Amino acid sequence: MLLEIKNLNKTYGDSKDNLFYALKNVSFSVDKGEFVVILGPSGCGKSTLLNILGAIDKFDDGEVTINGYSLFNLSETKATQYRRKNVGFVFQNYNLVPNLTVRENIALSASLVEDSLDIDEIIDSLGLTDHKEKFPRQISGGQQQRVSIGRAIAKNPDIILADEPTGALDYKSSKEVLSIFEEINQKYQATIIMVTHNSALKEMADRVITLKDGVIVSNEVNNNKKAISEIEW
Amino acid sequence: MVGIFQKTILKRAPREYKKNYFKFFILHVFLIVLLSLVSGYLTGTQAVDQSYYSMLTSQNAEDGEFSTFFKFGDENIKTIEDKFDLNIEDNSYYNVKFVNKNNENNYVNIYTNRNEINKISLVSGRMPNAVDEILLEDSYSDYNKYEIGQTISINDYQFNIVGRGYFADFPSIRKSSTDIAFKFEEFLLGYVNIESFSKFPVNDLTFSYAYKFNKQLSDEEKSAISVEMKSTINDLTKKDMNFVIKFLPANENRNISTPKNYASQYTPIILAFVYVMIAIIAFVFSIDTTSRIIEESKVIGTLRATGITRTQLTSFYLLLPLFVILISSIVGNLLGYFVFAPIFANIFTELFSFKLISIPFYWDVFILTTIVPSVILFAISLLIVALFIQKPTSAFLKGEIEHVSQQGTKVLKNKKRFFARLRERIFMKNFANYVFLFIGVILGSILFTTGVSLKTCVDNQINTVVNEAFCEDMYLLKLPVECNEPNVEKFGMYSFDYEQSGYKRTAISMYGIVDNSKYINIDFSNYEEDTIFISSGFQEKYNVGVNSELTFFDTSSRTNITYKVAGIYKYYSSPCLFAPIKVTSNLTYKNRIEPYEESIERILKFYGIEYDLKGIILNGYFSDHVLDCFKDEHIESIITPLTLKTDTQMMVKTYNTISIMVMAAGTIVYVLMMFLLTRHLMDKNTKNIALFKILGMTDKEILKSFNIPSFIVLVLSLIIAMPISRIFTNMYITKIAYKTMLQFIQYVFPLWIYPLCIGIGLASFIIVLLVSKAKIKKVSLIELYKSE
Repeated sequence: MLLEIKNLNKTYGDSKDNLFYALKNVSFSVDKGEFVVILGPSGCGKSTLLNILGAIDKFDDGEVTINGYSLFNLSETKATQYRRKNVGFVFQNYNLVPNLTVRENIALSASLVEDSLDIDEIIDSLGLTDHKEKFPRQISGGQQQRVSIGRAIAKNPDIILADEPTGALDYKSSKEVLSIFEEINQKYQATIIMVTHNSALKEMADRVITLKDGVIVSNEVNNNKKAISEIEW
Repeated sequence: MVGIFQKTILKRAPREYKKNYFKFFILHVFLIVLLSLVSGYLTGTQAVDQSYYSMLTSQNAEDGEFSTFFKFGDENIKTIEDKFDLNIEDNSYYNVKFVNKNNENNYVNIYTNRNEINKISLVSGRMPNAVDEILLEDSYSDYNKYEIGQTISINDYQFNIVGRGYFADFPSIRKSSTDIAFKFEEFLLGYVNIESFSKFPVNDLTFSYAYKFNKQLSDEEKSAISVEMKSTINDLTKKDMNFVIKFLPANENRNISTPKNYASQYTPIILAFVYVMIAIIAFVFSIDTTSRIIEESKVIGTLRATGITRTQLTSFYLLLPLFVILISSIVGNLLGYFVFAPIFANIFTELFSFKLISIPFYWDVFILTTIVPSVILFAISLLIVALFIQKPTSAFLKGEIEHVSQQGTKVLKNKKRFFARLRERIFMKNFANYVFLFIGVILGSILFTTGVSLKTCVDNQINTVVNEAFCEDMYLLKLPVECNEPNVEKFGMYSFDYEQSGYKRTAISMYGIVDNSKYINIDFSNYEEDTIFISSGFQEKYNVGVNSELTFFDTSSRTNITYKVAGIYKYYSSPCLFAPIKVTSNLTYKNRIEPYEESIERILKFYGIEYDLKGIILNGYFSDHVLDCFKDEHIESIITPLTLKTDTQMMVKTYNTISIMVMAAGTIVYVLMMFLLTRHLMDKNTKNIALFKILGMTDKEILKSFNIPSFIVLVLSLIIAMPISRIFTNMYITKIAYKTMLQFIQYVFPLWIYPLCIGIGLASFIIVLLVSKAKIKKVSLIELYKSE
């Protein structure tokens, strides 16, 4: 088991009267190489959960362990080290550094770890060979998201956290990006946790977790996993 | 639409202000400090100038004075009054040595009369009207703690102090009107009534007369009349076997003329400095504003598309800079007027000796320190903002208005290590920021290094005058008296006026030295007659050398004399000349003795001195020990290394203040520019910093990525600033100070200034590190989720 979450609680508010549960008693586990899709409407706590898994946000109580490493009350330094070695992020709005080239954006991440993957190989597998010396504003949104995935995978992390990665893309680009996730999941045995509100995408996952108002309403293993090319929405 | 937009602006601007309160607070503080000091200086010094001019009128200050050895008779006075349409008042005084209450040997000039000319301005108490009552000059009394009701002992007489006041012919106080340094600490002026005056021994009386023209005349007219008047007085005294010791029109009398515009003399340079600072602040503001425009380009595009005009948008982006400068300048002015103006006025009135009447509110100062800075800031901001806002609406909508981004998107060689590339990218992306850091640091470094080097010159000059002193005790004599003690050496002295194009007319001394002098090592035997040596100080100040032909004006004969420079004598203490003693002796005899020989012989007889006036005329002695040959009345002054040091310290006091002010200004510029630009750099890159943090970069790595370029820029600026500062200091001293100031300061620039300034510059890099460290720590990772 790669990731284990037990009774995770996250609240907002400063007094008992206005305490708001963003996540309540959340428990689930993820095996290495699993592709997990977290579904739910806006405001259900998906992104909060992802931020906790990425040590961007803290939680009140419960247990979150990745490879046996607890994320509870991590110091700033340890959280940085954790993000550096264990996590790759993919954001909805890509968040590429505008004045770094495609290659440099990926190298930025690779340069932070010793056992990074080969940058040029990643660029080739992402179909970005012709664009590697271009800057983000010179390529399309789909291509930018591919760079963002490349940046996440380059440091060979334990887990890739993707927050609505197709939220800003058109249908065709979304499919291209999702097929890349599919490919890296298979090729690198990458563990991917993807947050989305698009329920059609649950079919490409090994595990589907549905959240509503901060509570897990279902946690199902998908035995009929489909390739993204077969999924329509 | 327009009304709604203006209202929206008025709502948004305070929010922006509140959001960046710390940055604006620092800017306010800097601008308020800068403008309050300047408005305080301008107001205070203008008030001092105004009080000085007002004093000249209210106390009916003299147009000139003259002294004669024996009394200048009433008939002579009437002749002069009638001929030149003026009023003469007897201003004779006793110059008496006395021991003050601190047991120090001081001198006092005791006056009476002063009913018409050079009236006394009472500071406290009353005028003396009984025997044994005295009024003392206020600055001396203040310094030496003499109060009304106390007594002072002069010439064994006890006087009751009944008043303190100012003397119109001594708005600045020197013992001798030719001295450069002020001496109110050890030279007292006293006023007694006529009965008390008559108690002093007649032998100590100096016959002095103040004159005032009956009509208002221009300075040129007064100067023209003075020449003729002096000649007439000389003729009259010669006829009476009398002798003119001194003839001094007010504009040549340093006691009277020094305070004229003295306090406000640095106004142009201070205003220039302030406006340069405001221009830099305007550019810093503009970087900030243009960053906001780039950040909000899509919103601006949408607003343009909905009909908001470029002028409306420009006015919005100019609102905050204008608000900051206006508020700061108004507060600065109030603070300047109420707090700093009295402080600056006091600095100068403490130096001088006249009453500060009042500190009025000067509208010109208000305009110079409020309107002008605001206009400068507005004009620069308008220019830069307008250039950005002029871009097409489509460019705004696409978010493609960042011109500088072209520099940031240059393809770099792949061979570089990634972090080096990242730093290079950061540098290119924030190029404008680094350019201003560069300019700011250069300006700060120039100011700082200039301040340090000026201070070095001042300190060096003080050491130089001590080290180069001709001897331990140099006796300057009023009368030629032979001294046969061992190891003493006579010298002659003659004074000329020297003027070179662009330079202030200055009195230059010529030392006449004996053959094989032990004290001044020049051998004139190999040179032609009428050749002289000049001091290296003269050489440096006037940029002349060996074989130059120099023409001097002899004020006694009113003729020009030309000498050829045979050599340079290493003497940086002052610009002066050296010649064989027979040269000064001949000049003295020909121009100052021969025409009045009978008068002078009468004077020598009066003192019981026998001297061959046709032989070598001496003016003093070099000695390494105290001499017993002379009586007090023979001695003009005794110059020792200590008196030289004190005098030089007094002379270079202004330089010292300037150097400290320039150093402080440089440090402020340094700190401010580093703070503002580092903070701006960090603000502008908040999202990138958040991303770097999420990717797992440590704060230290991020700090290095942003600050290694800052560090390189800083070092580069410092290295470039050093030679510029050197040139600047050299120019200031050799091109401005040499020409405008009476005193001489040798220009020196020791090599240790380089490492010192670079070291201090680098030490201030801590500010950059602290600001960026705090900001990096503060950046929330959630920043990345904020919409573009």
